[in-house]
Amino acid sequence: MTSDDTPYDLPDGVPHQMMAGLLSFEASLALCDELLGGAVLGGAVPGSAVLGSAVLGGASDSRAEPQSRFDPLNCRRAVIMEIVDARVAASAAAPTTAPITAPFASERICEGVTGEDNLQVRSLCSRLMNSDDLLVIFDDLLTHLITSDHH
Amino acid sequence: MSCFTVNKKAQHKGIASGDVRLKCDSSASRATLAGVGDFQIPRHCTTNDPYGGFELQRCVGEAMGWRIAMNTSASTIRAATCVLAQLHRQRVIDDCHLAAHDVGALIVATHYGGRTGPEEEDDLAATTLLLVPHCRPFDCSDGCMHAVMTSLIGVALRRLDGPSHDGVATPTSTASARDSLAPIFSSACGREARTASFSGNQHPLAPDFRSRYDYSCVHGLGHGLGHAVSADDCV
Repeated sequence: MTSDDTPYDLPDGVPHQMMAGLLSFEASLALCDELLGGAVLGGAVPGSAVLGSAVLGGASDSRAEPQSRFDPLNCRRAVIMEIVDARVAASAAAPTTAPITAPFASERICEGVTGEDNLQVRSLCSRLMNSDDLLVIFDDLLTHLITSDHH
Repeated sequence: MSCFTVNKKAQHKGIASGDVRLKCDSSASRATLAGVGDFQIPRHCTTNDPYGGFELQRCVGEAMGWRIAMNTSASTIRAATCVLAQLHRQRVIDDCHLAAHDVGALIVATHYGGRTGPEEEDDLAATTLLLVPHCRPFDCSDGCMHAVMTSLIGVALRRLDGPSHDGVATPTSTASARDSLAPIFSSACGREARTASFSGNQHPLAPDFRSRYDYSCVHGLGHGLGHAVSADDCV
């Protein structure tokens, strides 16, 4: 048996549903680097504010807690997952509807995105693949998209 | 009273409702089932999605979220995520990541819902420390933690942005966003939070817990940042 509860409605002001447009794509990636102290941890983000060590203060015990745990790439990957997943979810021809087998080449998922409605996804794919840094992330993203339908 | 009530699908698989209570009670947190010990899957959830797929997961997540939203504490958050994970392990629901997402989003939404003025703002860092560590890492692929962080980041960024007009927000500068988000990140991913999370989770994978917590926390930060990106800015 189940309960007789009625369906629920979200309250006004749900943070999750009111966020789009608050940051630019570039800003979100930059914040990953700055908050995680990319220049200190990876040396790949010249000019970043190097907040990671300061923000975390004494939290990062260098002996017991490798700095790689605070890898900006992990953050960037999540940023891109979130964005592309939103595009895929909004797409009538989501790449996840077609079986894609290993190896998960980055090109395949972008080739699979066709049609005018998917121009944004294709553009994002192109943008990601033209960056050495983001290529790695995008490969992870592919695995994510193929093995799950969430995030 | 059972922790939850199984649907027909679960019953066909021979799942006993008491299993969930047993599993969650084995945690070091004696109050693991606080507030959700008698949770039942709402009838409308199984009616709309009798095969236990996507809709059922979301429906169960919302029900659980509402169950604890008005009584949010470390114990109830832990209990909710634990029960959802058990429901997933027992194949009552196909997955629990999105269900945990809904729990995390709802508890933040309830906390901040309707607050508009600065006088009603509270300490985001303190709220972060109250909520994030108790979304059990490992459970439901960290869905609760990611959703809570995403929602808290949204609260912080909207404060910078001010009231939006016609649903159109103005992108925030990186510098101001950084200053606003740093306390949240520090609270969520710092030692105090990790210790708080670890102390209540005697998980079988405990030796890897700190590493997982850090990874998940950073990943949650990225999800929150990505969620705040405008569609137009991505193309």
